[in-house]
Amino acid sequence: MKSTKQFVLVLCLLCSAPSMFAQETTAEEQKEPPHAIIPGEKAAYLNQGAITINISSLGIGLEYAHNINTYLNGRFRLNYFSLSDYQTNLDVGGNPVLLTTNASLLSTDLVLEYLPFKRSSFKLIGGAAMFFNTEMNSRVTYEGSLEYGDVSLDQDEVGDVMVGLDYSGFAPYMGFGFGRAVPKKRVGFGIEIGAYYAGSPKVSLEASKMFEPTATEEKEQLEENLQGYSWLPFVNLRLAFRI
Amino acid sequence: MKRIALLITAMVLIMAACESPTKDISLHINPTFYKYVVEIDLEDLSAPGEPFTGNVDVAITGEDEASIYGINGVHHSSGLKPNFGSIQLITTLNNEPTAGDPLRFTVEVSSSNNNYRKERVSFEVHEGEYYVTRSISLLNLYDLPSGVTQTTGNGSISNGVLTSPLVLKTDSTNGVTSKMALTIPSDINFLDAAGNAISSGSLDVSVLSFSDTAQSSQLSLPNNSGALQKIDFNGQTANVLFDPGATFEIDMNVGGTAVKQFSGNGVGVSIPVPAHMYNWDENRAYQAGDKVTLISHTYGDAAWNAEGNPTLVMENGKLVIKANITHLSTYKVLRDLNAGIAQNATITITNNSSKTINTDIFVSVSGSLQGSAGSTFAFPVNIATGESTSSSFSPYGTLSNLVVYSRLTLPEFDLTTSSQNIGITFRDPIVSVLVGYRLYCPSSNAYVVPPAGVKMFYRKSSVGGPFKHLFTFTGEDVSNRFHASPNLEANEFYDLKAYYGTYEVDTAGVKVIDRKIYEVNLPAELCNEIGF
Repeated sequence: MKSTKQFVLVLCLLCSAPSMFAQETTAEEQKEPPHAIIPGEKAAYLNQGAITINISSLGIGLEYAHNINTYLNGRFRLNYFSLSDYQTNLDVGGNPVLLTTNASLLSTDLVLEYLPFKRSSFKLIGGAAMFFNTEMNSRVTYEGSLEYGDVSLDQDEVGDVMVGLDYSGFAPYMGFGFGRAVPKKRVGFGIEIGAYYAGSPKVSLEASKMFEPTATEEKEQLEENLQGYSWLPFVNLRLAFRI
Repeated sequence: MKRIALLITAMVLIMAACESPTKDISLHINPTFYKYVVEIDLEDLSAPGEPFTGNVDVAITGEDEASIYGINGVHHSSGLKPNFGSIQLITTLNNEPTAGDPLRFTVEVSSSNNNYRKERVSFEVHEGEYYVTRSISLLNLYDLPSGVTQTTGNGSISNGVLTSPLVLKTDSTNGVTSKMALTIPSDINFLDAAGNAISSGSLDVSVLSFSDTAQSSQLSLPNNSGALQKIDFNGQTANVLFDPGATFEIDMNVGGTAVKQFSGNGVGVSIPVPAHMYNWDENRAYQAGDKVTLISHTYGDAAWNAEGNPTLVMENGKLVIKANITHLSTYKVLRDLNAGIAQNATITITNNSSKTINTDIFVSVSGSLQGSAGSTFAFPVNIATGESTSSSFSPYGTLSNLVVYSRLTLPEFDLTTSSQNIGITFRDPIVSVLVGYRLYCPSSNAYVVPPAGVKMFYRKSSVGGPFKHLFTFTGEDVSNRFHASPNLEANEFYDLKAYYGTYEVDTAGVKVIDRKIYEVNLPAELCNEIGF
């Protein structure tokens, strides 16, 4: 019976994490008191706060977490990420191509994490984020010179293609992980995997010189391809300091 | 753990639902690494209207010759050959003409085995003149067209002079080919281009005689302008539509060295006055004592020069023009220019089409010109949209029954004529369909906008026969998606042919649909050549 309830709980959380927390908490509270005492734990983290350093796929982050009860923690997090002129050499159809990427991200998120097992730090997480200036621009240039007979064309003459994605806006989040937001001990380590639903990105496609027609001809196709990229995967390593 | 696995599986499924961001994405290339194309259309005067297939060499000279490349991007110094009957030249982006600094160069077409008389055309390409076309008519010396005859002779040279005088008489054909007698005395030296006497060897003489009325003969006159020629006379340059009169070209070499001049009084020529040469200034037949003007043209010059005003004499019952020539050139007898050269005819051209027109326009006059059955002449036109230009020339008689054409494509036009005035107004055609073309390189999944210089030809699939010119892509309109195709009918099937450099790409049975973009698969070699 307990197992079935928890399975339903997981599925429901995937659908609507925030509202389900209340229901789940109520259900758990019927079986076990919210402050079930495990010797030596209560005094350590219940109703305590923690400052956490995050290293994640959204960059580095600073977080304040507060324990609500044995099963629930609330977190407020600030993430920042910046990538400047990251270059990669690619081969596209036998043509040497240089990919230069710039990315920036500033986000805040407010989440609740639910720890369904008393003796495990496994947790389910739900909440929402606000992405500010979350953009990624990739510039594709023909690497080296393009030879046409005796005519040698450098990159400036060939031109480039610039693809931009903008995920700015509101994004619900859900995930799971291990490690309490407010650790039992003074310092705790955690890992978290989840995804933000950011919706389809705003796509920009610009091209210059010889590549100029690509922008008008392929923007629609690129937008269509990126429609499925509504979920931003999130992997996070956390180091929490209970305060 | 089962629940965790379920959760992870759900997330993986969500992620897996995403398409590859590059799925069905292609590169679209606009080959703007050159925009300027100069095209020289070649025609063998012995095979008019046929695609030129002769083996000729192409040389580029002039102050900007270093900036000139073939359409395939290979510098001209590596050797140029015509493709599909024409020579297409480009320049690179950093050598493009700018305001006040046009590209100046000369194209010379010759034949290493001497079966074509060499010809040249000079260009001055200004900023924005993306597509310039000119025509060169080549005289096939091994297969002379009608209206041109060749007479040859030779003599022995000893101590720099002929061992005995050489008399060469040309024949006439149907009374229209110029007739003359050339007398080379035995007391003159033969001088090369540097003015040095050529001391030994056999003297070979060639005289080309030209008809006054045959179209191919007229089109073989200098500077590719047919019967309309420039003459420098008394310090002025006049455009003159040649009236009937003997025309001949003399060439000599001694032991293979070209003779350019003579010592002493030179070579005597005796030219019978052609029966169809009429003294219109006096409105009577020529008679002894009348004067004419002998003009000459040296290869490479823009204009003819007056050589003198010989007086007609009666010799053995025939009226002849007697003169001495001291250099070898093309010669022509004209009416006495001292009577004046009236520039009383005009050609006015108005360009109401949407494209700049920079090409040679040919005019064939089959109406009654004085003393002639007709004239064909050509002149270059360079006129921007909305502009009008006119030039004057001296005709003999009424310009009627005109046919205006170009070896390359022309927009549609309206033609008006009065006695000595021609009006040509170009306009855009009434378009029934707009179609687009793009070239596809499968190896790199790249679509290439047809580069400037690509020429499209068409024919109706159900009719077959020769292909007709449909469209030439230029730097002026290379960014347009659709092109007006007045010669195509919607919902009909056509065979299309594209020429680019040495490549020919055929696409058969294409149904024409308005505003459709047609894809032409390019061979891998061509994709490699253009960098994709």
